[in-house]
Amino acid sequence: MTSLATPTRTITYREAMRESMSDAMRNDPRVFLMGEDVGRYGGCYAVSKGMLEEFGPDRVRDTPLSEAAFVGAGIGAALAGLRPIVEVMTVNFSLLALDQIVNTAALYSHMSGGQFNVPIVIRMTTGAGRQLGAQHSHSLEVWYAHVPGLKVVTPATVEDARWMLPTALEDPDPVIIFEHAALYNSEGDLPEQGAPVDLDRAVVRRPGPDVGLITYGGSLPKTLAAATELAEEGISAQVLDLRSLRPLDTEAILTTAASTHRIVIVDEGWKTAGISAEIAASIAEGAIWELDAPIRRVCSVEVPIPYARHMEDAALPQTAGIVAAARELVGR
Amino acid sequence: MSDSHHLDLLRQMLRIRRFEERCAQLYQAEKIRGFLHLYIGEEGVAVGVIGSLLPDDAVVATYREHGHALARGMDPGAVMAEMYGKMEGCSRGRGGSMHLFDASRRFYGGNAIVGGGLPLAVGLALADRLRDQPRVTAVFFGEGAVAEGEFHESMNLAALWNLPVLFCCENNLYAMGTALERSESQTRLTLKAASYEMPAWEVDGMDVLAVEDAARKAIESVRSGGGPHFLEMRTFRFRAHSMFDPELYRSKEEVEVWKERDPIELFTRRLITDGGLTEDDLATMESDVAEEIEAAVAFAEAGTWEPVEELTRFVYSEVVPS
Amino acid sequence: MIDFLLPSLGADMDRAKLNLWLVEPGDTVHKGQIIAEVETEKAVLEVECWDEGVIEELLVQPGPEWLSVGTPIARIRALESADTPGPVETPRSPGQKPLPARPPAGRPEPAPPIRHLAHELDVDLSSLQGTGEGGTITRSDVRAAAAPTGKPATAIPISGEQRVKASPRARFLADRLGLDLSDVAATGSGGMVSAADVEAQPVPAREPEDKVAAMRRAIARSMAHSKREIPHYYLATHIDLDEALRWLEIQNAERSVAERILPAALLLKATALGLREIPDLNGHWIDDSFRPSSSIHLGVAVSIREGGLVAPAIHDADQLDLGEMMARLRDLVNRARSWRLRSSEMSDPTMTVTNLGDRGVETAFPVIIPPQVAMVGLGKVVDTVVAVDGSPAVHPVIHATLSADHRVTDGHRGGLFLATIDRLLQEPQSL
Repeated sequence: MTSLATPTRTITYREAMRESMSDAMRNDPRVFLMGEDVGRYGGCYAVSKGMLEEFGPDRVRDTPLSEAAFVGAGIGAALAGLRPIVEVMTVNFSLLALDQIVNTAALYSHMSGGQFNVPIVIRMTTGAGRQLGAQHSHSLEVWYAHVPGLKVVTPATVEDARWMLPTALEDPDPVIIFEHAALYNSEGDLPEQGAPVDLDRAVVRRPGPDVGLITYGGSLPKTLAAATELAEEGISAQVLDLRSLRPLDTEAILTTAASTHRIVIVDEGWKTAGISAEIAASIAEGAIWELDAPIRRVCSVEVPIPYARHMEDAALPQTAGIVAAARELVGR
Repeated sequence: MSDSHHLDLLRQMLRIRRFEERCAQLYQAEKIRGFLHLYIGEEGVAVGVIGSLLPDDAVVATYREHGHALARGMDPGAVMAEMYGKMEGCSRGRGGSMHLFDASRRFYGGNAIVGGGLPLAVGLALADRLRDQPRVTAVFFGEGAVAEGEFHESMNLAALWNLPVLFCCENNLYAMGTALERSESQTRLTLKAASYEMPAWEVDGMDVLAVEDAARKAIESVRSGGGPHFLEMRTFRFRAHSMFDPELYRSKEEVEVWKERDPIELFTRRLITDGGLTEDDLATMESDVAEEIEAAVAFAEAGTWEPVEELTRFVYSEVVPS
Repeated sequence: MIDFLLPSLGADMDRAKLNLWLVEPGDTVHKGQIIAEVETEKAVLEVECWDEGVIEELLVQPGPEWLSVGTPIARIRALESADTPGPVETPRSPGQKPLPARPPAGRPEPAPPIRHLAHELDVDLSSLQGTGEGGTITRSDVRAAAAPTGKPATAIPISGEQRVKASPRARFLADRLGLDLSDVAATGSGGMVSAADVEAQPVPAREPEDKVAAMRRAIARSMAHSKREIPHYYLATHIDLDEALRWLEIQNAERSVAERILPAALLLKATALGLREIPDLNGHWIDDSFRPSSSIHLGVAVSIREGGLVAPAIHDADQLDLGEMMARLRDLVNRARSWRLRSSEMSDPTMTVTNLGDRGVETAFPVIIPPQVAMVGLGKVVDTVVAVDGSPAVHPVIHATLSADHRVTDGHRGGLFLATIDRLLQEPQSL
C-alpha cells in the first residue's frame, strides 16, 4: 500500500526483482547470482537481463542443468561465508534439488548443534496459467513450507519483490523466494524511498468486516479483483496476503477470522494436504468459536494442470469462484 | 624409516581402531544407539589423506566418519559424547554418530545421504575460488555414491569451473550389501573421473604410505590451481555395514583374505622389519591409546542431557542479523 | 566375575532367541571371539565377546524363548593379567525403560499388541491360559476373556435429539445467553443458525416469576463457575474526587436537568479509558487462554426490582462522550428493569463495573462474570479528611476495587489499572 504523500514510480515486478538483486550485488561483494541461463540468456524470465554485463561471469554465473549440484554448491558457498542467490528456473525443476534443500540446507544448523548456518537465498518461479502443461505448472511451495529450517516467502507486490530480497540476504538461514510467473509483468507503484521489509508478517491488503479472503503470491491479484466485485454487491471483504508460508503468520490469520467470522482461502496449490489445509486447521485450533460459517477453500482442482486454455482455466482458482464462495458464506 | 611421522601415522590408525572397537562394545551395551557405521579396516585412508591437509582446508565426510573426525584432530571425548547423545558432544547430541561436526576444524559433517556431501564440497571450493583463497576441500564418499546423479553433477561442475576439490572415493567394494559389479556397468571408477577430464589415480587404501603419497601429490596440484583430482582408494570394511548385518552378501573367506591386508598390521610389521619399532614401543602406544579412549568414554559418561526445553533451538540460527 | 549380557546388535533389536553356544564352561575366550549365535526377527547373528577370560557358567540354554536385550546369558571369569578395559557397567539413565522382567519359564511374554488389547478391554493377562503356539496368549484369548464382562472399546452416544445446525460462533453466543438453539430461526448459509440469528432472537418472554427464577439460576451457575474456576485477586484504592466533582458541577450548570451527568458516567468513562491503557483486563478467558477484545464494551451491573441483577454492555464505552455515556446508562438501566434488553447487550461485555455506592456500601469486592477476566467495584462517595499540600482538607473520596483473574494478570497490572483510573479522574476535562 502506498501513501499518496510519498513520491512513487511505476515499475514491473520483474524490474523490481532485478533492481533488488543488482542493488544487493553492488552493496555486498559476498553476493552472487548462480543458475541456469541467468547470464548470457538473461534469465529464463528475463529477470537477470543485463546483469552479466555489469557484474561479469564470476558473479552472474551460468550453470549446467545440474539442479542438485548448483543448489548444493550454493549451500556450500553459503556455509563458507558467501551470500549466494541461486535461481532455480522453476519449482518444477527444484524437485531435482530437493535432497540438497531438504537434507542439507534445512538441517545443517540443527544437526551441528548450531555450529553452522546456511545463508542462502533460493529463488524460483512457481504457478500455472500460461498453458505450459502439467510438468511446468506446479505450485509446490507448500512442500518447502513443510520443512522446519527453511523460510518460504511469496512476494506478490512490486514492493515485496523489491524489498524482500535484502532481508532474505541478511537472514542467516535458507530463504526460498517463490515468484509466481504471472506476476512478472504486473505493474505497481513503488515508493522512491523504500526499505527492506520483514519476511514473517502477513499484511491486510484490503480491510473489510464481512468475509476474510486469505491468499498469497499469484492468487493475490485474483483475490483483490474478487473483493472489488463483492464490494459492488455490498459485501465488504478483507484480503489478507500471507507473504510468508513459513513461518506462517497465524496471529494475523486468527485476527482475520475473529473480525470477519467467515473465511475463504485461495491457493493455487491443491487442497489435499496443502497450505490451505494448514490455514484452515490453524483457524479450527485457534478461532473456531469465531466462525459463523464453514471455511471455504478455493484451490486448484485435483488434476495435473491441463494444456488446453479452457481446461486450464477450469482447473485453477478464478475470481468468479472466489466471489461465489464468499457470497455463499455471507448468505447471499 | 621408523621416524616420528611414521609412528604418528600408526598411532592415528590404532586410535581409530580402538575407538571403533569400543563404540561397538558400547553399542551392544545400549550406550550408543541409532545407526553405527564402523571404520575398522579403512583407517589408512582417513589418516593418509586428512593428515596431508592444512588446518585451513575443509573436510566433508560421510556417515562412516568417526575415523575422519579423529584424524582431523577432533577431541575423542566430544565425539564419544556425541554418540552418547550428550550435550557435551561435538554436535550437542543433536547429530549422533552420523552427524559429527566441528566448525573450528572446518569439518562439515557427517552427511548421511549417499552423495549428498559432494555438491556441498563443490560450493565450499567455489567460495575459496571466488575469494582467491588457496584452500582445498577434501570430500569423502564410498563407491556406492558413484551411482548417484549428485556424484556426476558435482564432478562435472568442479571440473568445469576448475575448483579446488579433492574427491576421495573410499572403494570398500560393497554399498551396504551391493557389490560394485552388481551396481556399475563400468567398475573402473577412475575412468568416470577421466571422462570429466579430471586427473584420477587408483591407490592401495590398505597402505597408509601409498595413500599419503598420492594425497600429497594430489593436494599440491589442487592447491596450485590444477583443478579437482580424484583418488580411488581400494579398501575394505572388516565389520558389518552398520551394527545389524548378518553379512549374507559376502563370504567369510573374502573377509579373511582382506584381513590379511589389515592396514594396521601391515604397517606395524613394516615398521618392525625396517628396524625402528619394538614390541615395547607398540605396547606403550597401545596403552596410551587405551588410556585416551577410556578418558573419552569417561567424558561421555559424565556428560549431561540437554534439557528438553531446548528442543526447538538451532532449527534457525540464533545470531541476530546485523 | 563378568556377567555377559545379551547384546543389542541393531537399533531395532530388543530381543533374540539363543540358537547355539560356540563355547562351553572352562573355555578360554578372547576379545573379538564369536561365542554364540542368536536369532532375531530379521536374521541369525553372531555374538562377539568383549572380554578376555574363562567361561565360568552358561546361564541360558539354546531354545525358542525370547530373551530381552541385557539378559545375562553367561558368566566370565576375567583373566587376572588382562589389562584390557573392564566390562561396561550399564547403569541406566532416567530416560531408559527398566529391563522387562524375564517371562516365567515356559510361558512366552505376550507381544505388545496383545498387551495393548488386553489393556483396552480391561483383561488381566496373568489370569489367562494361552491357546496359541507354546501357550502364547492370542487376540482371541483376550477377546474371549473380555466378552462377558469387558466394556465396549468406544461408547456410541444414543440420542433422540436432532443436533441443530449452527455455526460455532452462534453456539458460543447462544451458550453465553442461555438460549436454546432450536428456538432460533436459521437464515445462515445452508440453513444454518448464524450469529446474527442468535443476536436477533429476543430474550424469551416468560412470566415474571419464571424470569426471576431463571435469572437466579443463571446467576447461580455463573457465580459458582466463577468462584470455582477463576483465581481472583483483589486490589483496593481510595480515589480523591474533589477535582472531578467540581468540574462536573460546572458542566452540569450548563445542562438541563434531564441532561445532567451523574458521577457514575464519569467513573465509567474513566474505567473505559483505563482499559485502553491496560488491555489485558479487557477480554475473555476461553479455551484456556485469554483473548483480548479490540473493543471496550463496558458491562454495568443493574439490580432488578423483582430480585437478581443483570450486567448488560455499553458498547464502545471508551468512544462515548460523557453526554452519550449518561444517555446510554439511563437507557440501559430502564430497559434492564423492564426486561427489554437485547441479547447482544447481554453477551458482549468485555469488563463489568458494579456501583453499590447508592446502597450505602463503602467498598465492594465483586465476583468476576465469566468469561470476563476483571470487574471493578465502586463504593459510595465519602467526605474524608485528606492532606492537601500538607494541610488537612475535606474531600469527597471513593473506594475503587478491582477483582481480576490471576490467570491473566498479576497485581502489578491491576495496580497500574487502578492508578490509571485515579490519574484520569484528576484530569476530568480529558474525559
